[in-house]
Amino acid sequence: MSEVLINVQNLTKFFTAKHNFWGNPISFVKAVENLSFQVYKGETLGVVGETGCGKSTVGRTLVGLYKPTKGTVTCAGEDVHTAIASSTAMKMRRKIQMIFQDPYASLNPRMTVGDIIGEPLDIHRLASGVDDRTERIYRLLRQVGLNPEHASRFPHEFSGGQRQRVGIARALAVNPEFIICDEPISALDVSIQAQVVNLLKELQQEFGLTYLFIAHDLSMVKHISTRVAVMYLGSLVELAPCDELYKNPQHPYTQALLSAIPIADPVIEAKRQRIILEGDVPSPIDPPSGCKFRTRCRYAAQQCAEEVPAFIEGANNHSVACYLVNK
Amino acid sequence: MKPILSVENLKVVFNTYAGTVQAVNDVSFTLYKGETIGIVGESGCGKSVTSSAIMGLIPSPPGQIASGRILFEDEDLVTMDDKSLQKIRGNQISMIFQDPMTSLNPVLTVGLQIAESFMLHQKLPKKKAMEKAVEMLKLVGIPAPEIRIRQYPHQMSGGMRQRVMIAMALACQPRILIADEPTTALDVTVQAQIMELIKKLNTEFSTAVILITHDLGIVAGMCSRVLVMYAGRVVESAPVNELYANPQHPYSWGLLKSVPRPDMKSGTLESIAGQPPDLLAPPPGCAFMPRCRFAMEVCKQPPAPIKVTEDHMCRCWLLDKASPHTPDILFKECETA
Repeated sequence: MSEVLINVQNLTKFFTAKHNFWGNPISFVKAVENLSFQVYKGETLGVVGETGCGKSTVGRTLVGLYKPTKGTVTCAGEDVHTAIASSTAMKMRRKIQMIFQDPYASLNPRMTVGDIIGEPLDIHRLASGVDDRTERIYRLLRQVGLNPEHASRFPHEFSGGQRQRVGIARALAVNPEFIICDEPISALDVSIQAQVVNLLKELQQEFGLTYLFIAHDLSMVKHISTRVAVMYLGSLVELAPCDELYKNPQHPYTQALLSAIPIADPVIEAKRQRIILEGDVPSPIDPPSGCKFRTRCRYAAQQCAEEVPAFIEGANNHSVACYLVNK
Repeated sequence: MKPILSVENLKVVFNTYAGTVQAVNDVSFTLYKGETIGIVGESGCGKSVTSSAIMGLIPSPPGQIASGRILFEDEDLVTMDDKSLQKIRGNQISMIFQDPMTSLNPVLTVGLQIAESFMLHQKLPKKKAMEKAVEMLKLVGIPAPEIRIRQYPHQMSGGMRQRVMIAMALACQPRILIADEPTTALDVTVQAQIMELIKKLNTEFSTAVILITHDLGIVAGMCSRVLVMYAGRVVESAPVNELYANPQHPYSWGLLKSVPRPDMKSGTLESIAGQPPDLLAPPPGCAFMPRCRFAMEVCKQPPAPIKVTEDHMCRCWLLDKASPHTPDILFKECETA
């Protein structure tokens, strides 16, 4: 395998849920707990899971919007969070960029599209003059499939898909190595989703980008990812190469998740047996002891309640955290 | 067999300051007892407006049903007065709305919201109605319903709220259930739960279901017939197996090609270029023409509905006798290329 670009070790992020009278925290939302994984250069790591499983928190911590409670994130060997707190912050921020979920809320309505894309160029002083700046903005617009004339327009004049393209152009402006895509297509129509995913794939080939692709649409994740990580209630339950995971899911949660995806073929749908998960995801303030999935797991045993199952790598780079698999 | 609902040439317009928006244009379909039909299309294609029109929920002004009939057991819902409509709405025809977060009343307990329809339509006293509400919550699979009926919507998760919505909609055992994107705001695992529930109710009470969605996967698993809508018109309607195996309209085909299949190896996705048209000024002729890769000169004129088989209708010039190619050959060429 190629070199490791992002190395996440024991990443933990708690948010304070309640304070006592003195303002000291007494209970926490355990958004992300003890996460360790690597992202290799040039790959797309898909992160899937239900609402509230902490996938967006991972993305936001990786880009440096959140400070981790514990653990480290390194980008090409350099610690992201120490870099951001020091004088090398600008250099680090150029390496990691983010595309946000909601193309309606993530663009400033009072700035023209040209200024939105030009802002990172100004902040990082990448343009050598006014002409160079305009030239770069036009080039970025063309790269994401928009016209240079669009530079003088405002975000409200664009459709959702076009706005998401502007968001992508803004992320590309500083020539990043690593882009975190936080549900970039979930707000878009089906036919537009395919356009944006294809664009992301093309850009990845052209610039050798590395993506962390966060989504809840498992079929889209399969389409774009090299490897896929499955999260449940703040923990990683399974991580495997894309085809391996979809062909041979090991964790009971992954199995249920995959069986819940509707397939656009009535013949196959008629024959399918679904694993229906009962109930809801438990609260991340007070997660179950041991394996967090045990309250909804079909195979839960005594052991699952007592100890947290280790995340162990098996054959085919397939890692799972489950006692059933790692005997 | 006689259909329980038949929509005939429905046309809904919205008179705005910017001009008249033709949201639904010449939509016709029929629904039989115990059947599930799907309406698919992108946002703004008129699928939700169609369902609001059936429920008599088009805000007027600015909305207006310009022409057409909606026949429910030989009665026209379009011309019916409000009082008789209220007797049908929530009783015979009911609806599950898209967003369970905003369609429940936040200041009433969920029990009261469900009991309301028993008190209104079946004239039950409050105590009896609340008992019925507990039964309904049990039916939709909410644990500890006796406690839950005294709770408020904010105390429940999204999936549970959607179950409450379904319980409300089913309270009076309606003949027709309209589900307007019932799972769009929910996770796949919860979506599977809700779909399973709707399926069960459909078979147990032989309620006819109109399922409105943009997810072709859900339609494949739930419906017997599908209508594909684009820019306010039904561009194709067919039995579900027929549509997925043999789509005839370039839009239906493109839509099917643009969803990745988790059970197949995928290269690049086919995407439909461009944007859906502005309904204030729709293109003359076929509304899909600007995005259609097979567009011809004749497409500037509106295509007439053509019967491919007895129950497969499609509005496309490619199916015209004078067309140089048939759609299936063109689609195959694209798929192999």
